[in-house]
Amino acid sequence: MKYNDYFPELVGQVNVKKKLAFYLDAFEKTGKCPFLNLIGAKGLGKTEFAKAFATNLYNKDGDRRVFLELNCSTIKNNESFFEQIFLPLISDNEITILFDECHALPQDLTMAFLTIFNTEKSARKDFTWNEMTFTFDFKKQTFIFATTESDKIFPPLKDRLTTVDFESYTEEELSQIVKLCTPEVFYTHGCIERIATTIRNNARSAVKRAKEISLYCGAKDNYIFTIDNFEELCDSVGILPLGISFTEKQILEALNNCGSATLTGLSAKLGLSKSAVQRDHELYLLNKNLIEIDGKRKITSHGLKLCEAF
Amino acid sequence: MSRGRPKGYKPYIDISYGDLGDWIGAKGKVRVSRAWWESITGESEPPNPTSENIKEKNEPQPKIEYKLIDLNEI
Repeated sequence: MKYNDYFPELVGQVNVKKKLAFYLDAFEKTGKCPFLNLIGAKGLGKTEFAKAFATNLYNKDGDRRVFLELNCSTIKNNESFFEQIFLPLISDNEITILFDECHALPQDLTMAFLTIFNTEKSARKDFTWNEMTFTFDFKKQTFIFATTESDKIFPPLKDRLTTVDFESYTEEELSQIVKLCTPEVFYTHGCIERIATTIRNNARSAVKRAKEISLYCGAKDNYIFTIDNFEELCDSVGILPLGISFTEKQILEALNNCGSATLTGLSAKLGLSKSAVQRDHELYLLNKNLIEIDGKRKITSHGLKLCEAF
Repeated sequence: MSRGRPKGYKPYIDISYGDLGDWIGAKGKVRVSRAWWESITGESEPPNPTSENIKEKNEPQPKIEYKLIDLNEI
């Protein structure tokens, strides 16, 4: 089967699609699937791809497998996992399980997984804990992991998983996502390209933008969307060039005014903690080449041009 | 050709009790020498579960958040 046929509703991520399609083809013949680890920044579609992958896994009776999505940060220990999840939902069932935010797995369950996922050739694994034995049947159960923070996964566990890396979306792919999410809207010439320039490089931002456009058209009862309409929408809901946030705009303006600043100086100017500046606001500006860090934070020529547009 | 363990090799490492507990859990079993156990507790047998232990075991675990989706219905 061609890789796109497995994922008809998902845009972009060609390498991810090819890799997952390969494992789906193999699963069809062998009933086996490696333990996948989907890695990528937030909003790139890891959960959607895991769900689409699971949609293509069929039980022996021809039904699609049930999909279980777990938030690992809410698993506190082995006991809660085996009592609340494994015994009632997984044991003996044909099911696909997604461990989302798997870097947050508790340490005792991480240790258990080291044993469980060390399978060599066997498709079954008995795991004994607290004087009870739990049987994992990897022909019935498919395990998928996903995280934004791969560096925080215990390395021996990471070694047992097959990594699938997600990439940023291109502007063309982001345009396609907006169009797919707003089938009722007709975009006039050049409009969709203009919209794509305001979407941060991920699918979730594109879906969010599409929802805003859908609401705008619904409120106006007019489904022909022009560049002028988009400018009005930007003004109303505060969409800035390149999709930057107001805090990111403040950082650019602060650096434009003072030339350069230390992280401490910048956080004092903005009234934000240093870690918030570093984790939540600087990364996208660095990604878009609007600022640079060379000891101090400095605005780039791209950043200066953007400031002039404000 | 040299054989065996390298010079300076030690078969044991020191870790804190807290670190050990993080990996095996507060209820994980650790093998210790009976003589050592007797020297610090004066008892010859391991402790029976106390009412406090039983209470702790019976306390409800925090709920794990999950979504169960039937993919035949989408």
